[in-house]
Amino acid sequence: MRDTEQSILNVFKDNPTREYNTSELAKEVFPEEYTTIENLLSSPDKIHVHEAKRKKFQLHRKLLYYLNKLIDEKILRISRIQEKGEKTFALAIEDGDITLEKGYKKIIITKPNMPINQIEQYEKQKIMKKFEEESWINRFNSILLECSKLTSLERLYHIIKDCFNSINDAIALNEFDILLRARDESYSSELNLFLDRLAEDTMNLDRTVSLIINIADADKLMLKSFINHYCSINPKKINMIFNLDNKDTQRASDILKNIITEFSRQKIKINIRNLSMGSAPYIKGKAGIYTYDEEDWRVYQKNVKGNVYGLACSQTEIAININRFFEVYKTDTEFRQAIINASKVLLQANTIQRRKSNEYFRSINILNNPNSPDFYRYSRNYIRFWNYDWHKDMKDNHYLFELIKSTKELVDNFCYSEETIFKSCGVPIRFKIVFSSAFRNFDPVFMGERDYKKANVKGVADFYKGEINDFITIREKMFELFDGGDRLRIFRTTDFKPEDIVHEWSVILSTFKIPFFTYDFSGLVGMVKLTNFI
Amino acid sequence: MEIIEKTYLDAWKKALKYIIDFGTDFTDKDGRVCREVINMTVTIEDADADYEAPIDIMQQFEWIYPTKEELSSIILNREELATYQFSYGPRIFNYQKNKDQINDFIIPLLKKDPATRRAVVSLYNPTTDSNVLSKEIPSIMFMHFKLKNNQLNLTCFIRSNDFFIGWPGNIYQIFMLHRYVADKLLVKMGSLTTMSCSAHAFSEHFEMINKVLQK
Repeated sequence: MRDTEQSILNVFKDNPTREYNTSELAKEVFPEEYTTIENLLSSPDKIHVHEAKRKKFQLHRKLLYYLNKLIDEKILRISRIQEKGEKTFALAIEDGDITLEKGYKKIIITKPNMPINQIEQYEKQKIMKKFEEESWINRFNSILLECSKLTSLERLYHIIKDCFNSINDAIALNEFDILLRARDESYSSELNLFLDRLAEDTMNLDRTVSLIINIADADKLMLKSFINHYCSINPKKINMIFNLDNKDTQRASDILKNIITEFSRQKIKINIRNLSMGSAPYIKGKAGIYTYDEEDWRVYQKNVKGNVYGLACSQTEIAININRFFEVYKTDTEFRQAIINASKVLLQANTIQRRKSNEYFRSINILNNPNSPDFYRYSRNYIRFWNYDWHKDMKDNHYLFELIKSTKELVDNFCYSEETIFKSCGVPIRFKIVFSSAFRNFDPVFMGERDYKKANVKGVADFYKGEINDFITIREKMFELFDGGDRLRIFRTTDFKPEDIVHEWSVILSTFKIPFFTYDFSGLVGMVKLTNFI
Repeated sequence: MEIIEKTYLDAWKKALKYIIDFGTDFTDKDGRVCREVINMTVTIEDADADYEAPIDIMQQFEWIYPTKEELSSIILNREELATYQFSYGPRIFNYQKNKDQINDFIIPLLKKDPATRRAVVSLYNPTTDSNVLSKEIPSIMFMHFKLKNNQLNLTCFIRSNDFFIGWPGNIYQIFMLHRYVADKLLVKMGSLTTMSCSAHAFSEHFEMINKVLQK
């Protein structure tokens, strides 16, 4: 066997259930060349950057030659093709041991057996879907990194890149405002470069990054400059989440107006975390919203913060198309049983993840050493609902609310019982399942089109009466049910002054029990016309 | 209370019946009604008998019971896993990261002095576990190995023991360690005894316990 083929297979031998993209494999198979390219890519010299891109292309071509050979021999397969055409590869062999022999070299790969799948029938009926099935056990869905512990942009960037290998959806950069404080003259351009590189990586690897910014603590000038750059490149997979409460809408109205102006021009969504509803961070991934339990977050802030660089947020997740479920099944009992089956599958996935944690999450464990158990302490598993508001008039969905509520109680009991069983057997685990809504990007093919009512807002008066008021009141109830977080999406459909929007936010933050909302300008037709903005 | 039986299944059923019939009820901090017998000793005369029988029954219920593979790795794996708050294996084979209590102490000691009464493995670590706020501390406190008539007997002290959901898993793990040491010493396994300070069962499991007792 040729050395390069041997090196590729050794990568899969270490982690047989994982899928790798070309960049990840290149990094593992040609570590020295890859490091040289990485160094050149981060150079401020454009010639070096150009040279690095050329070398990277050559390295990928060389690797692809061997990958294609292994595909022809049915040892590897292409598991998916990401945006920009980058392919990901996985082992093509079945579960169990396989011995590959070529010439004098041989390699034995063990692919672990997957547990009995209690949701197989629902998967075949396209009612349930595991998120990123190929990597749903050997990767987390979302994690959070603490910017307060990672103040060097270069180090932070490399840690994020490393963490992309261990997650399949989102990384949150908590307290990103700490990095938006003036340093030396070149710092602003360093920040812009950091964002540029992250924008490219998130696109190439199909990952999401949430930049969490406390408006009250932000250096307004730096934030303004950063926002200008962010809006100019409009990174599709990096979102900004602004933490604020009602008072901030007055104290920081200038910067908020600036944000509204810049974001609306590019029709970029603005995400607001309502701090008066809690302080646990909200993370926006492609699968949906992630957050922590408020009580857990308080304990973390009090006892753990400062000990670890990051925290796991979500381990595994399954989406359920409720509309489709009730086309096939008719009773509440069947629904509850389906959710319990999904819970069992999540538990079994957690069992494998737990036992293999030193293999799957080695770099994260090293990063948080000696406090690595704290990294896992607050994470949860998600069951996400799609098309749960299939009655166009959501008031008709009272029955569904009750069903979800009673099912949640059942799931909570299941988690508690399982934790107790495992603890009693000397296996002290944490196992929590939370409910949330799914985004279409969880899996656009599985999800299909969502038939739902949009909250189209024309002005602040809409929040006090009529359809919008009713709609938000109902969404408040959903927020209570969805302990894994949710979001309210508000579409602006008419021209506005930025101060109008600030006023609307103030009303939402002070009137409704909405922990998180997205203000969306995509409903505006043509160029955005900001009236009377000074 | 002392129970001595030839098989694990008989011992388990007898202990469960005793708890149900003679235990006293109290409500724990989570509001669960618990029936408890203090200082219950259960001996299985032939430790090499049906050690999988209780766990096989537990895996037939609707819940997900820990797999034998995971239970075995918890007690035999010296590697610390960040996903567990604690694990028996590292405490036994790598106590405080510097002591393999089995290979560096128990086995050489029993080889050198087969009549020894010092072959004790400690799992409880007062420096971390004796903390008022600690919730995650091991239930198995220590184990005592004793050679008698060229057979290896093991006594295990358990501070808190849910006899229905916990004991089948505990006994499987203890058996694994017992067999590991017996194999290293090239001796047969003798008896296996658990001494449970609090042997208990929760009221929500009484119905299932009755099903087990009818088997």
